[in-house]
Parts: sequence; C-alpha cells; structure tokens
Amino acid sequence: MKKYLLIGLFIILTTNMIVLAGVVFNRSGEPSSELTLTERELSFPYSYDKGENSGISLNLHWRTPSKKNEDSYAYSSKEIEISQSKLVELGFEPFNSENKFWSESQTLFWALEFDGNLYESELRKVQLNYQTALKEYESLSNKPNKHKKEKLKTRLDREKISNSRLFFVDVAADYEALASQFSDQKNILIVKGLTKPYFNKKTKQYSLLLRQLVIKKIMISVEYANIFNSLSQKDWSGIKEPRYKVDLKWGKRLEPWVLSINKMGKHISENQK
Amino acid sequence: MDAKQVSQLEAQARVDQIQSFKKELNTLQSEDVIQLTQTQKLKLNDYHSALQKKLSSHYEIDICIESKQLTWGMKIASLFGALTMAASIFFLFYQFWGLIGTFTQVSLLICAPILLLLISLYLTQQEKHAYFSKIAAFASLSCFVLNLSMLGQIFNITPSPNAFVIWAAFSFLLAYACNAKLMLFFALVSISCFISMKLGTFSGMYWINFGERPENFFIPGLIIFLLPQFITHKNYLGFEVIYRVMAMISVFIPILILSNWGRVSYLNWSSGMVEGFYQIIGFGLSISAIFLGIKRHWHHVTHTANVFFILFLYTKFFDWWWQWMPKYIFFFILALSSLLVLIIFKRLRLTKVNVGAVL
Repeated sequence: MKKYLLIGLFIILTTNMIVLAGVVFNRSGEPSSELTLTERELSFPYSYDKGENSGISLNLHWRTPSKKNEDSYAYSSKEIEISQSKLVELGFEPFNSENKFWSESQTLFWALEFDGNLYESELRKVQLNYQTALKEYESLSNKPNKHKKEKLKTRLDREKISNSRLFFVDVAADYEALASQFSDQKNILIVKGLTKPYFNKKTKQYSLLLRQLVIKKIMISVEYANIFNSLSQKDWSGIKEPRYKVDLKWGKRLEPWVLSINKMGKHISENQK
Repeated sequence: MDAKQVSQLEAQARVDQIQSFKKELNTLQSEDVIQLTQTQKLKLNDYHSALQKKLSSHYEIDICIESKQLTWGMKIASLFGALTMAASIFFLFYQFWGLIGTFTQVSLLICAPILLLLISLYLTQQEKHAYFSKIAAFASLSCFVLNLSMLGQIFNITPSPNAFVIWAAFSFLLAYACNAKLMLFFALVSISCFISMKLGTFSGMYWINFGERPENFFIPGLIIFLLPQFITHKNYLGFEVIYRVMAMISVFIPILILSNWGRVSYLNWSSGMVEGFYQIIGFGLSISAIFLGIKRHWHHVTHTANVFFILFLYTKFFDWWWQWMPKYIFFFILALSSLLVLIIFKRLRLTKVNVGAVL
C-alpha cells in the first residue's frame, strides 16, 4: 500500500509542479503582446449563472474584415479566401480529384489587429453606407428609405461604440514568421486558433474557416469580482458604452493574464491591493 | 485449501460449489440413490463449515443467495455513491471558487486529491470488500480531474491532451490499489482517448477532433485487448472482462460508424468502397471474436461479439430493404433471421452436450 501512496503523491505533485512551472515560464521575460481591451472585445458570458458558477470568465470577441461587396456586421462570417499556395504553406493538402471535401482542422497562429487600419476601414465603410442612405432619404423620403437610414444609423453607432475592434489580419503555420511580419506594430495580438480549409467546387475557390481561438475565454480572479458583481448582463439589442477595460499581457506560450481592470473612472490594479 | 493462495473468485466459486453439493446431496438422499452414515455427515459438515469460515476470514464471501443479493445492492449503492460524490465535488468547487483567491484555489485543488487518496488507501486496508474506499478513490480521481482542468481555466492555459495520460495513470493506480473496476473503466477510457488524440495529431488534426476519424481508436483497442495476456489479474476480480469488453467496444463502434459513413475514414477511397470494406471487416471480426470467446471460455467476449454481429447484420438489412420493402415484411424477415440464429446455436449446443456426455 505504501508504494501506491508514493506513486499517487508523485503523480499529483509532479503534474502540478509542471503545470505551475509552465505558467511561470509563460509570464517570464518579454510578453508577446500587451493590449488594453474593453467590454467591446471582452464580454460577459452569454449565460452567466452566478448561482451555480461563481467564477467569472470573459469571452474574447474578434471579427474578420467584411468583403468589398459585403455589408459590415458585428458578427462576421469568420471565413477568409485563400489561394492554393497559401493553403499548402499553412500545411494543408490541396483537395484531390476524389474531392471528399474533408480536411483536418489544424491549430495555426493568427494575427489579430486591435483598433487599427482594419477597424478604421470598417468604420469608414459603415459611415459611407449611412451617408448614401441619408442622401437617398433626403431625395426621396419614403418608408423604405427611412427604414434603411435608421438601420444604417444604428449600425454606425454600434460600430463606433460597441462593436469589437479586434480584427483578424493574417494566419501562419510558423509563429516567428508572423511575429517578424508585424514586429513594428504594437496593436497586433498573435494567438493560436483552430482553422479548417474548404474548397468550393463551383467557384474553384479555397477558403479557410477560422473556427475558434484556442483560448477564447479569460478568467478573472476574485480581486476584480466586485467590479463585475455590480454589472448586469449586457443588453445586446441596445448600444451601450463599454463599462470596463482590461489590461492584458500574452506570454511566451501565447497565454494571457490580467494586469488590471478599470471600471469607468476608477482604476483598480492587482499591485495596489 | 490454503485461503491465502486462492483468489476472491476461486473462494466464492468454492463456496458456491459447496452449496450446490449440499443441495444435490439432499436430493440424492431423498430419492434413496445414496445414504451417508451419521459419522460421514458430521465429518462432511465440519469440513465444509471450517472451510467456509477460513475463506470468509480472508474474503467477503456470499454464503447464501440472500447475501448475494445484498452484495449486489451494495455494489449498486457504491457505484451510485461514487458518481454522485464526484458530481457533488465538481459543483461544490464551481459554486465557491470565484469567491476565493488564486493561492487558496490552487492549494485546495492540490490538497483535495491527496487527502482523498490517503483516505481511500487507508479504507482499503480496513475493509475486506472496500466499498467505502472505492467511493473515496473515485472522489480522489474527480478531485484530480478538477485539479488539472481548473488550473487550466484559472491561468488560461492552452488545453493539452497530455492531461488524459496523467488521469489514466492516476486511475490505473487507484484501480489496482483499491481493486475498483470503475477506476479501471475510467483509466481505459482516458488512455484510449489519449492514444487516439496522439494518433490524430500525427495525422495532422487538432487533438480535440480525434473523434472525427474513428480509425484513431483501433490501435488503443488492440493494445487494451492484449494487455490482460501480459498482466496477471488473479486477485483482481472482473478486470480482464473490463479490458476485453472496453477494447471490443472501442474497435467495433468505429467499424460500425465507418461501415455507414465512409467519408470520415483515413483511407483515400470512395465512400462506398470504404463502407463495403468496413462492413466485411465488421462481420469477419465479430465472427472471429465469437469463436475466440467460445474457445477460450471468455463468455464476455462471445456476448459482446454477438451483440455487434447482430448490429452489423441488422444495419445491413436496413440498408438493403428498409426503403422499398413493406415494414411488416421487413420485421418478419428480421424475426426469421433471429429464429435461424436460434436454431444454429441450439444445434451447436446440442453437439457440445453430446460430446460432453460421451466424455
């Protein structure tokens, strides 16, 4: 029985030591990214049942840029078009003549841009659409034009105030290649994400489905629980200013941790506790 | 008979044999086939009483049918207790973890499985059948699973398949320490998942999607089936059964899936060809397993293979006839096929009985 006890203790203690050592390693040295995200990018979970689960984790929201002939939406298709050469570069095989349309999902490195050119471009697009709708309404004040104008005004307000400003930029199989590509930009976040390629037989076009981030939730420790306990769940139909902002770092293993959380007008950091 | 040199299974079998012998002897005496003298009866009773007492002192033996029924009840209660205790621990932690600091969370997560491991090992030494120790062991495993999964959430760690091999190792430890089949079940599930995930990763997929390619389960199934050949389980009642049945399930279910959905195969053939291939494999393998089970007296292998053979057969019938055949004829044919199987088994059984009678 003594040997079982020793082996059991060895398994439990060694595993925990390895896990915690990994956490320390991730947080050591220079962080891979450092951003301040708001409720626009880090939201309450959709179904937050405080009764059964007292832990709080925030969901990371990101978008893909809308296509040229597409409207801008808060929740985009999470799919991008790629060439065959890019597909092969990412480690996928081109579809064969049998064309089973089945390829494995793979973890790749994604670059996300925060509040940069892609967001500005989306904002301009929505503004332009709204201006066009406004002019159409001014020239012909009928019900459809009025409805269109109001819809686009709402979309514009959302884009300015509540939509996520985190946009997918690029994907690569190699972290170093991606990091060096964006080395001069401070608002780039490189994370791991799950991707799956598709092939459209009709258009003969490859596309890459950006399924999900490997780490899509960020846990909040008890030190900041009071901030969130006083907040109600976000009304997704309304357009509301973000109620908090979170200072984050991503480490060597691309795993994030929270430095501080600001509630509007108040600053509470871990170091000040 | 030295009680220490026999296993729990052998001891129970001997007691059952004594009970059967007593019943048969009473019947023979009442029909005047045989009569024992008083001295012989006393000697026989004394011998059997002493033997049962000796075996009972080392193992928890069921002397009569009532105690057997109670034992079954205790096993069911123990299983239910273990599962509900594990669920309770999970929900308890989720209820309160957001209210405590990170250091306290980590400390509790590490200490809980250690404490319950100590309790389960202590109880194993105190109890003969170790019902309470099995509950404690399962609770310890639950705490360890919670330990790693919660650390992952607290520190936003990238999920990894390596957790499954750690959980498997811990489950195996508890299974053999506490003689707990439930722990062995979870150990085999964990190690199957881990090997399948790794095989999936080697083929280029994300490890969580290992289920997208059922063939990932073949190698772990084969390994688990062969393990009892190399590890003696004399003192571990029912462990070999768990190994073989789990192995067969992890092989046959993927074959069943692939025989109906060929596009998820690794094989670079057309879906139709893959499905046909796996249908043949499924039938062949189940028939081979039936004969292996009969030859080796592995009843559990025979029964499991029977179940899958019937599933393969009726799935084929469904494919061929369901769309166009009137439903009453379809089910009538199924009934006829069952009768045919019944006749075949009856003939085989009769042959065995005749051979046995001759010998």
